[in-house]
Amino acid sequence: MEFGINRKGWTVIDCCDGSSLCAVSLKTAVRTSERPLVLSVVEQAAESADLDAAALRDLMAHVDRSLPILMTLGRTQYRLRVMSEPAVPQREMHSSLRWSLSTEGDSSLEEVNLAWMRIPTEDQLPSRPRQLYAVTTTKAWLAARLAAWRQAGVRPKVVDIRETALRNIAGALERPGEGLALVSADAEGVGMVFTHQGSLYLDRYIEQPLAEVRAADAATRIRLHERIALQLMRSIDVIGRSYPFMPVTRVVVAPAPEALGLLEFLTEHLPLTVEPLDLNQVFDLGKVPALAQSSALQARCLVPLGAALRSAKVAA
Amino acid sequence: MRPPVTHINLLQRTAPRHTAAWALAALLALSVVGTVVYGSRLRSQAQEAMHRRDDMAQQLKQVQARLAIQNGEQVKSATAVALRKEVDALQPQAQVAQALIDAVRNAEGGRTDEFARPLAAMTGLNEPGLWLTALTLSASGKRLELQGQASNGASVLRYARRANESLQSLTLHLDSLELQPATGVAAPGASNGMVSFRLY
Repeated sequence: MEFGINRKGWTVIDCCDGSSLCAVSLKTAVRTSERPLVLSVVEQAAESADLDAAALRDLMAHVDRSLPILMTLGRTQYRLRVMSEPAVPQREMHSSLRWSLSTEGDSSLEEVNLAWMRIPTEDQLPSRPRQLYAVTTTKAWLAARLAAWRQAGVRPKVVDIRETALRNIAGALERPGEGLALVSADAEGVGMVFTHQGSLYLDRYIEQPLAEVRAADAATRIRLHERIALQLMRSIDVIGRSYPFMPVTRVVVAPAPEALGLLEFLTEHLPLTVEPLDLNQVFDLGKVPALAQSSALQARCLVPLGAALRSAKVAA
Repeated sequence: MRPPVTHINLLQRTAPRHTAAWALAALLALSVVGTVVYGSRLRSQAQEAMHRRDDMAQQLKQVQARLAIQNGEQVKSATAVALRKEVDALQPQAQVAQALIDAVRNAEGGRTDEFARPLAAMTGLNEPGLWLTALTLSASGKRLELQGQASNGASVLRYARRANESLQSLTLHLDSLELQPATGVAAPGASNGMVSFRLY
């Protein structure tokens, strides 16, 4: 499962969020006491973010090409689901999961690429049936994308998803023993990841286009925020019942593309500690002042930055 | 200590793996390569062994030639050693002869006729293990005295008897004999019973 292991860092391209391309280069080979260093950040508008080879080529001119390339997919381009872990040896897990997925009827065995990761409960709840996250994407679609990327001179070593990128950031913010909720908004909605010891235990995504929130009046905007807060509290309740070993007492809200009052609403209405995400806690932004100063750019680069933490050593 | 975190990578092999076929092909290729490598190594070892054998044969020939030369030299040197031994054995007799010559030169003011006949008579005698060291003619050839050494007293007695027989025609007679253990140079091969004598 662990293809493309490297310790130097990554150049991550996220071409699947709205109509812009975003790329970051992150150096993770730093001293233990130092934070991963963001070498470069670039966002570029593209008419068709998926297959605009010229824009992609132009984007690559602004990043560190010596680092291996990681691509992150958009939410609609893969499917993430929780499954019971088959009681089979590790070497047979992949085949067994494929078989399980094929019986669900939405894809045949050979049509999807599959990756998986455990939801670790064996130490804390050994008697509980084990579960895992399975990620699938359509093989033909991915092959076409790879061909298009290759035409633009981009040869990714890893194709990752948004939830694990956000999980990496939440994992870096965690305090020992706690469960952490990270709330992040993008152009299409609001996502939540709940982590403990760096692992993803629960994810939620509320489709709520930014344009709707922007256009809403004050009363409607409050209702939209209440919806998010309600979903957040329900998720925390699920966590408390399903994973009692990871009490979620802190919610971190990532920078939003626009200041629409979500952080303030949650801070005011939730009976939990709500904190804004300070990327300086996780990354050294000294080389990218534009990123340090722009919340909108931070919101856009949140996923590629999180994905680039893939090989970073995070203190426990 | 935080447990390791699993990462996702959806970039996977798209072509079918055919693992068994590839494994068999790799095994076959390895076998072929191994056979070729082993065969070439075996061939080179055989060639090396043949070269070594040829070298050894060449060296053997050289050693044999050298041995033949050395054998010849040893034969020559054995002959030389034998000759040397003979020379060494003759050395005392040569010394005796030289002494005789010196004695003759000094004897009686060069009256060779009176000296020649008794000398010829004495030199005609040959007694193994006995040699003369002095021959003195005095009284105008009427008195003869012989001194010498012998390996034993019996030789001296035999020599004295034969000398008197030879000197009978010259009206000379040796009727006195003195014997004593020898203290001078011993002849090669002589035993410890060496004696010096004086016969007159």
